[in-house]
Amino acid sequence: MRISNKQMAENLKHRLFQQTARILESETKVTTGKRVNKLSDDPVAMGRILEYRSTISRMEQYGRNISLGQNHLEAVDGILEAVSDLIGQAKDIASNPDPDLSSSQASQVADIRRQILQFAGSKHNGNYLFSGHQTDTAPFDSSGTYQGDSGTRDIVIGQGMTVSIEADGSEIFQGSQDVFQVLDDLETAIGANDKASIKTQLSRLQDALEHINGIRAENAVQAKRMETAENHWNSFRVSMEQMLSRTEDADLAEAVIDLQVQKTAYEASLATGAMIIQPSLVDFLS
Amino acid sequence: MPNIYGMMDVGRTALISHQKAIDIIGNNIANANTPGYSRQRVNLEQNAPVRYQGGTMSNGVHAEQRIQRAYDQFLAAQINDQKQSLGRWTAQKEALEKVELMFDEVSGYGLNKAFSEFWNAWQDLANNPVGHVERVTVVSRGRNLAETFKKLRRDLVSVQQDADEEIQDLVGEINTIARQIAELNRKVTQVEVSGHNANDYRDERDLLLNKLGDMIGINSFEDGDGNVIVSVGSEKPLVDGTRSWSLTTGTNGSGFQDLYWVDSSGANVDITDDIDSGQMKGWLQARDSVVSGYIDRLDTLASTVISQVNNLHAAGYALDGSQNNFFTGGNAVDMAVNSAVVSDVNLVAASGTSGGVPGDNSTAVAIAALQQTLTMSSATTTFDGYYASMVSDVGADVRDARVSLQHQDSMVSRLEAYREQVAGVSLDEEMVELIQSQHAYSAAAKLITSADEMMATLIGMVR
Repeated sequence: MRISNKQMAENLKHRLFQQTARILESETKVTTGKRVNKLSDDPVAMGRILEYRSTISRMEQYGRNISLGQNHLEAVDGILEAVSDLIGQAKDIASNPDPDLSSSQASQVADIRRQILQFAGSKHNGNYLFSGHQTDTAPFDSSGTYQGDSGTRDIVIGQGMTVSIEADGSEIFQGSQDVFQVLDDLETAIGANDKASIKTQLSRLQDALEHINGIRAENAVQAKRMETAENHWNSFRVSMEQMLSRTEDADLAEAVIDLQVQKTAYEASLATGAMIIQPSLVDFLS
Repeated sequence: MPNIYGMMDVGRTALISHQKAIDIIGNNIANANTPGYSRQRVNLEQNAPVRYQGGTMSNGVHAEQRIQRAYDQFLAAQINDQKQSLGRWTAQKEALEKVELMFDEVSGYGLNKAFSEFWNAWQDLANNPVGHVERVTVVSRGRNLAETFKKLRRDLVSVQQDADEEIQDLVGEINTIARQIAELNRKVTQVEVSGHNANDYRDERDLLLNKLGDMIGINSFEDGDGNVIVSVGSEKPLVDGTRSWSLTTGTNGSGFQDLYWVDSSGANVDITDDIDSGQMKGWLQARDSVVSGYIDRLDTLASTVISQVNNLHAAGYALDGSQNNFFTGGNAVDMAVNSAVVSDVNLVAASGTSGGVPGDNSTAVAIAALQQTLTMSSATTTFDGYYASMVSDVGADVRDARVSLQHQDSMVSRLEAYREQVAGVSLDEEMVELIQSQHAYSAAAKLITSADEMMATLIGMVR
């Protein structure tokens, strides 16, 4: 077989180019730490990587939604707890009416009513908590008339999963008994020292308290749901991130070894190349 | 009976013939690295001896007039064939690798991220439907999404335009080469009619044929007179004897150049769809089929996003109770966020209650839920899924082109190695031949010297 000098040179060049290309590829893997550096490196993996990434981003968003919802619930619960305490105080007064202190007790009840009204008008992040969807309107006017609507506060905690938190002030504060009306009536009864009426108001206060505690219990259930969802997303996200990493990231040890092997092969080619392209018959003719 | 003059004459023919051989060896050595050069060989032939009275008188040697060219016609045809495919995949791979760069998804700043951010912004808005910051974010993420769509589409169109320019450049080069081949046809036939071999012209013509095949799919064959006949497309002659035709381009409906063959009367014949290989095919395929397919899919995605978001948004209510579209435009070319919404973010509809209730987030929730809705491909996949499969397809197309190119490349280099085996110059071989000829030359000189001495001896006898 005839082998021409040009052929030898071309072969050598071709091999060296191929090897440098492979070294470059391995080097990219090592330096970026990624297995997929171009769409064409692994098209199928690339498609999956995109899906993983948007899923992870969505889970992070659910996580943010949930923590906002938890904030909201904590604010609501703090207020409802304070309101229960206030109703408890009103109950104390109603169970120990003292004719000698009737005017001071009456004004205490009026204070309690004002405070509850104030709590009901609380804002969280600039929005009224208890006026349904009318978040820019105070829920009650001074007479205790509800000005909001029946909208709930909806939090998306997952695909098609929503937690609805009660935001209807009329349901919370006026659901079984109109707290403001009861306190008004109590104030009047204490002022008039009307024992029978005070007793009636006491039991109505108990109703209202139970109702509010019922709402708090419902909220606790929602909080639990959010917590469960949060835990679920956290663990799911970790496994998603692992899957993404497995799809996207290079096995560094393998990549480094590959690089080393290719470098060795390249050096061997250079050495043999140097040996075979050097001599020709010319070198041996005198 | 032999005579001394005859011996001198034999020596002379040997000197001349081996000088000629050394001359050709020199030419081979000089062209050892010339692309397309086929090594040449002088064939020596013994001169017809003169016979008389039962004896034979040798008449020496002569070099054949036709210098032999080491050449394998079938191999050349095969190389040309494979070069056409090589050209096609070279062009297609180049175009597709540009496309691959445009999809900036590996670094994570592509459309996929713009989508995620857009849907997340709607969820944030759902968390705080009256929030000014959340509204501004929804609008800016929407604008970013639209811009990303538009940029990607512009980038894809620019790949098409690059391909279009390549096509126009190719036409110019093809015409030049066609003229050169016709000119070489003339030279080859002129030389060969006088009984010589036009080896250099043939080498040059083969090289040009290979170049032409790399550019555009051709059919070529050599007629009995040594002319190469070349046709393109569906048997449209490009070179016939000393005549050449030309190609030209004309703008088509999409604003790109179609390929025409100009017939003898000067009329243009459309051959765009008849090209089946060469770079021309690669660029045409990339421009009119592959990249335009991506653009169509991108437009479909953009228009579905626009219509789905708008359907929900226009059914929802802004803070002031009005109803608006969120996006304007119909596809990835002109997609934008409604300018009214941009200038007043309170027009973003988060509420689903007529009159625009501030705390109602149902429209925002519904729009955010579009991310998970099977909206694409006849309700079988989500926006994300559709886009991911598109990106996957781009990667697979690039990969296919690269694999085809590698395959074609190794094919061509293997064939060229065969060609080199036949036609390439081996310096070792030339050295051997050189020394062989040199020795023969010295011996011939020695022969003449001997004849001269014999003559001197003869003349000395007379004195």
